Amino acid sequence: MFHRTFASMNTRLSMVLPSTADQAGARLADEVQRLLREQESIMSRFSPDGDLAVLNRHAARGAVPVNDALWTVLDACMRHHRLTGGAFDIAQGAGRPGHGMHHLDMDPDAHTVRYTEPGLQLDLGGIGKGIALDLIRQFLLDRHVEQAFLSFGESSVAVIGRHPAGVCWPVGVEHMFEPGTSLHRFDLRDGAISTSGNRPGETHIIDPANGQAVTGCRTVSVACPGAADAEALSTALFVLPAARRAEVLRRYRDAQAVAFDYGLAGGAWRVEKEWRYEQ
Amino acid sequence: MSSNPLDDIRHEAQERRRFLARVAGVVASSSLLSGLPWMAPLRAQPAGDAASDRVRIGVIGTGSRGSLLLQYLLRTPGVEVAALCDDYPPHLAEAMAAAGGKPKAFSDYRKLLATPGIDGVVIATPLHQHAPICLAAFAADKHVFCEKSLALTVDECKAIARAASASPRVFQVGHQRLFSATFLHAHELVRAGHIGPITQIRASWHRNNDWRRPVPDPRLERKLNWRLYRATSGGLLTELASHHLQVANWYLDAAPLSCVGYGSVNHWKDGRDVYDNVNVLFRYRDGVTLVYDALTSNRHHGLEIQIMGPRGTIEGESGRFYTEEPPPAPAVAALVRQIEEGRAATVAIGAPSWKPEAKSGEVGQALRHELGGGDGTELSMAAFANAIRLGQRMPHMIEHAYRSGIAALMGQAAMDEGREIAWPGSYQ
Repeated sequence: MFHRTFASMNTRLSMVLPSTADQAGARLADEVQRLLREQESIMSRFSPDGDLAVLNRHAARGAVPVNDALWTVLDACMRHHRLTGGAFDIAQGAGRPGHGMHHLDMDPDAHTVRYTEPGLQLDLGGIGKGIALDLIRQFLLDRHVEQAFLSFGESSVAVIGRHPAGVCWPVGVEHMFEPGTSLHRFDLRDGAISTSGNRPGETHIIDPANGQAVTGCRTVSVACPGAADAEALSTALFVLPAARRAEVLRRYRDAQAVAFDYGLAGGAWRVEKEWRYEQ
Repeated sequence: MSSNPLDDIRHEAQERRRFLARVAGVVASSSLLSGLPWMAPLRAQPAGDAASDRVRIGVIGTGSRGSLLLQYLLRTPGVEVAALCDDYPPHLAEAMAAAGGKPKAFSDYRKLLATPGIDGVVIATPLHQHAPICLAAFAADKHVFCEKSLALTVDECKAIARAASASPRVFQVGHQRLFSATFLHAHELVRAGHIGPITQIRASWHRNNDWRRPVPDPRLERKLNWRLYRATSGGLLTELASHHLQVANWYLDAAPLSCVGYGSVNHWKDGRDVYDNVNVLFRYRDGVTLVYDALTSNRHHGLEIQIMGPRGTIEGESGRFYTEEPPPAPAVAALVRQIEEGRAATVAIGAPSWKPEAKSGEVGQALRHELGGGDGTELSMAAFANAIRLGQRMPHMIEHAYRSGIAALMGQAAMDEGREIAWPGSYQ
């Protein structure tokens, strides 16, 4: 078995490859780190020369040509934006109501992007880890890796094959205040899970419907075949009212989801399964 | 507190015996620790009270460091402090009182060395006296513990190292970090490759005081404040830096090839002729550098040695180990264990995303303390006594003493001469 954990995209990536020997695993992990550095330079808002950062600086002043890699990412985001009825939106920002991906003018023939609203900024923080996980998984499959467990900051997990001692990878949603306790189990085979949530007092996900940060300590976890799909879905479901979630999930093949609500009762955190969806 | 200080000492000696018995177990059960020649004597269970087990030691130099070593010796099982020597009567009187008046008192070390029945000496005098006393002690066929730094000149260092290697007796130097649990653990991490090959060591000792001792009579200035004058000391390099120079040489398993540096008196302009700040760079093989500085006009950064490699950083004084890469999440570590054990269970993992807690990716892991939380001085005294009793020499000690002693003098010469100073070669 090979395993390695390293820093990437302001969090950590853990690779566990049960049926890969140390030396081969180390070579693969080096390649994966290279691949992630490329992805980070494409998708990060913060690396000044990065593709997304350049786009954010110039696209409000006119159409900016975008390379294939970033185009593919933005095109996928646009698809998720449509499929989630606008709930997934990479053009949100705290205190910027009225912003949104409808202000993106993407020219599919010229591969150019223009922001029709000044001050608009794209942020791939909500989906970037999923996109990277899909790429890593494909990279490993191309190199005949038959079993893998990949965790990106623990909020995004993707697997290949099955646990060597089981028929699947049994992955639980961890209780936020009781480490090691699983609240719900997904049986993953060649699939992915993403969890979006707020820790107490945290507000980092914006509801595109009103431009406000979503408050409340709760989580939404989504399991589906693709890691980027799972990321987009968990982010979208987090802001959507329960009544609209099933309709969105039906547009994605084999998606399952579960939501938990945390509340303080008598000084202790209590958790409730708020909602669940299986196809 | 009882009225008789010797009762307290007896009580503490019992505790010391239990502690040393535990240390013996720890060292014996660790092939790494018992493989270190200076730790091997600590495998022996604490000595009993039989006269044949007793090691008779004389302490030469009973000032601040000497009196501390005396405290440890008085509490070390199987040690009889048989003689004390100092040429400054108040220090000698204090030491005699601390030892309950039992040892013989001397003002001349030559008379102590000529006294029959003394097995070994502990030398804690000003630096310029190390060489003559060490050489006389070896000539008198004594076991020798000499405080760091080794000596005031390169020639003296060579002479002591030669005499120590020629003598069948034990030689030990006062580099207590060789006996410190955290520095031993850090050494183990370095050897096991946990930080990768060492690429740089950075060490510093910053204080904000004049480094002076009170002087009751101006005529005693040079005697009591011997650390401030070139005739008796090498200043910050020999009195402070030599500890970290020793750790660097130990972990790199090498002596420095050369040294450059600057020093000056830029704050304490009080007539001292040693620098009040020193800044030196030591070059080692494979392009590795030790960056060292000591300051007496600012204490903000305190005392630290940082050992760095591509995989991690060790901070020796604070006893922390930082990996360059983050550790796996507990859930991932649990999954790895499951797979190793051939079982599958639900891995509870989840949001929100983990974020690094510090710039280095994690709060450092604490290094071990199972040899006691002390700085190693206590164990170094116990090891000296055991080595004498067992007749076990510690040849590595000569190298540790010689390399750090010489490195300190190289640093001083580099600053004084304003040029690169090369390693002056072996003592052999």
